[in-house]
This record gives sequence, structure tokens and C-alpha cells, in this order.
Amino acid sequence: MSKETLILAGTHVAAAIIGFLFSRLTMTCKERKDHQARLQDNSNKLSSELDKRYQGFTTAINKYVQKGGEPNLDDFYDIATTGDSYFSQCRMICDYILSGNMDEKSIKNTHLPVMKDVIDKSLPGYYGTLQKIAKKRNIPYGGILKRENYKSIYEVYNKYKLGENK
Amino acid sequence: MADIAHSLKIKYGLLNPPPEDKIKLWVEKTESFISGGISADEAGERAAQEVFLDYQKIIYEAQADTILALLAQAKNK
Repeated sequence: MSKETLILAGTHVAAAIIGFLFSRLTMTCKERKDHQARLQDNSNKLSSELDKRYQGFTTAINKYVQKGGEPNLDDFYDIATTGDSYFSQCRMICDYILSGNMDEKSIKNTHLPVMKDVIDKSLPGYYGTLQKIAKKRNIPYGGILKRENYKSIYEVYNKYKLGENK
Repeated sequence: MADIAHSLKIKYGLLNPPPEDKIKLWVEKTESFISGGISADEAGERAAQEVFLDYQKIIYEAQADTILALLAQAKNK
């Protein structure tokens, strides 16, 4: 094999390798973009579901408030079940955040403020109110706010507080 | 109907729950927009803008505040 032939073969091999590496690089960019889109999609779907559950929750409380005459046991438990469902969705959103399956922008701008409110306002208000209503109406209800039941929300909340203090 | 009125109030930032005739009109307009090829969400939004005079007068952004306000009413019931 002549020297020229070897050089030519070497050039072909080098070009093939460069081409391969380039295509890998392009794929990586595309994959990154797809990954980002998937994270954004996760955020949108979870937010949309949270909105639905929020509607269900507020509708149940409103139904209780607007009821002509005395609300019954079903009205009370409607609040409890829709409330649990709302907070369960909050927990799921926080699980996604903690496992790195949510885009940073959505976490910061959309989810963290909601979770902060959930810990500071909605969760204590929810349990406190249900306990008071149950006591007033002699309804057997043993729900109490336990931190371990909302572990991921508290974890996200603590991260947010740390971020605020920076 | 009261449930729908409440949901519409929150979703479209209305000052008060809309009356029944307005809700019916909103449904008709939304369906008409959807049949014209607009997505359900956008159709509802456009219909709300046309039907409810107090559209987006209040932004119920903080879910927690609405939840607390409603819970306070429930507690006093």
C-alpha cells in the first residue's frame, strides 16, 4: 500500500470519526432540548391537575358554606376528601421537584410560592378548621396535621427558605 | 349551578358568582367557539371575556388565600 493511499484512508477514517462525534454532539443538543421540554411538560400537567383539584376543594367548601339549613356529614367529608386530594397533588409536585423532574424556572416561579403558602397557610388552616367544625357538629374526625405526611412539601419549603436567605 | 358559578368566579377572576342566564350564555358561546375550531380552554376564556362584565376584575392567584377565606366562612357556619 502506497503512502498516498494510507494518507487517503487515514483522512477518510478521521472524517468518519469527526462526523460521528459531530452527530453525537447534535444528538446531545436535541436530547437536551427534549429533556427540557419534558420537564416543562411535567410542570404544566401537574399544575393543571392541581388547578382542577383546587377547584374541587374550593367548590366543596363553598357548597358547605352556601348550604340552606345545616350541612350534613357528607358535606363535611366532601371538604375532607377534596382537601386531601388537593394536598396530595401538592405532595406529588414536590416529589417531582425533589427527584429533578421539573424545570428550574417553573419550580422557582410557579411551584415554590404555592408550596410556601401551603405550609404557612392552607395546611394549618385546613386541619384547624376541620377539627373545629367536627367538634362543633359532633362529627368523628381524627385528622391532625402531621409533618411526616407531607415530608416532600416541607423539604421543598426548607430549600425555598434557604434560597431566600442567600 | 351554584358550584359552576363558584368555579367560574375563581377561574375567570369575577367579582361575584355569575347568575344562571349568564352561565347559559357562556356555555353557548364556549360551544360555538369550540365548534369553530378553538381549543376548549381558549374558547372558555374568550366566551368569559364577552359574557362576564367583571371578567378578570380580581386575580385569585394565591390559592391559599381563597382556601383560607372559604374555610373561615365554613367554620362560622
